Amino acid sequence: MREGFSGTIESEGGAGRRERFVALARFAVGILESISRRTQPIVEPVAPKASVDARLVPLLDLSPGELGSPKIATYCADHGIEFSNQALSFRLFDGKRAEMSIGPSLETANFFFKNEDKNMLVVFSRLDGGYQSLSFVDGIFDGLYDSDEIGKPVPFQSFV
Amino acid sequence: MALDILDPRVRIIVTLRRNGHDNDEISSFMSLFDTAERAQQERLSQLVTVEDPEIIRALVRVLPDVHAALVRRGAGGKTAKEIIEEAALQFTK
Repeated sequence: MREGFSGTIESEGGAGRRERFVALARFAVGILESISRRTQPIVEPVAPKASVDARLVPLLDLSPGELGSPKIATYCADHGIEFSNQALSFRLFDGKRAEMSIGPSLETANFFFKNEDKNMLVVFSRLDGGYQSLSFVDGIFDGLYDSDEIGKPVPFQSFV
Repeated sequence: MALDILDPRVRIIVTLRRNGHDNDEISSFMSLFDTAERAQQERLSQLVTVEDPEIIRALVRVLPDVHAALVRRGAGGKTAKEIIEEAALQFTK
């Protein structure tokens, strides 16, 4: 770590947990420091068509047994999320809040979205500019998708 | 548990939720996750799922202050090192 730890941390016995905590914290600091060294710009969303909600929107918590369950619809209803011909972007800032906006230009971003009632695409926009998304067909969870590189569109062709 | 089949991001969220972290804490941690590179994300995911929950809890709590300390580098207040060492004291018997 750049600021330099003293190296006085014990390595055995009851201090083991302390050592693991410090090691993990140093790893996290390394990640945080690497942010400032990056030069690539963060991909900012284009002006949204409509501002939906500036509240913190909990990320969708899916476990294997819940894939395709009514939880998806409940989640959307609980948070006032409407899925019509739109994709949503959840963006985290400062670790404190999330901003939700409607994806402004699906064509430009090459996002595929089907215009039926229960087919939808939820796009998570990462701070590094990449994307991660969840897709649903007829309300059933269809899969997780990741962009391969920063700014590269999510590969949805196989889903058409 | 079939957590292995989940995407690292979802795996972390599920694990943190199970361990009782609130939404702010999860968001804070996921902010770190989102800024990490792919290899680092995998490592974070592994750590969160296998590491002692108390250690993860301490890390999650201290992250905002550490981040703030890094941002204001040299502008007063505790350094990231001091914050981490202070938090580490809770694990000293």
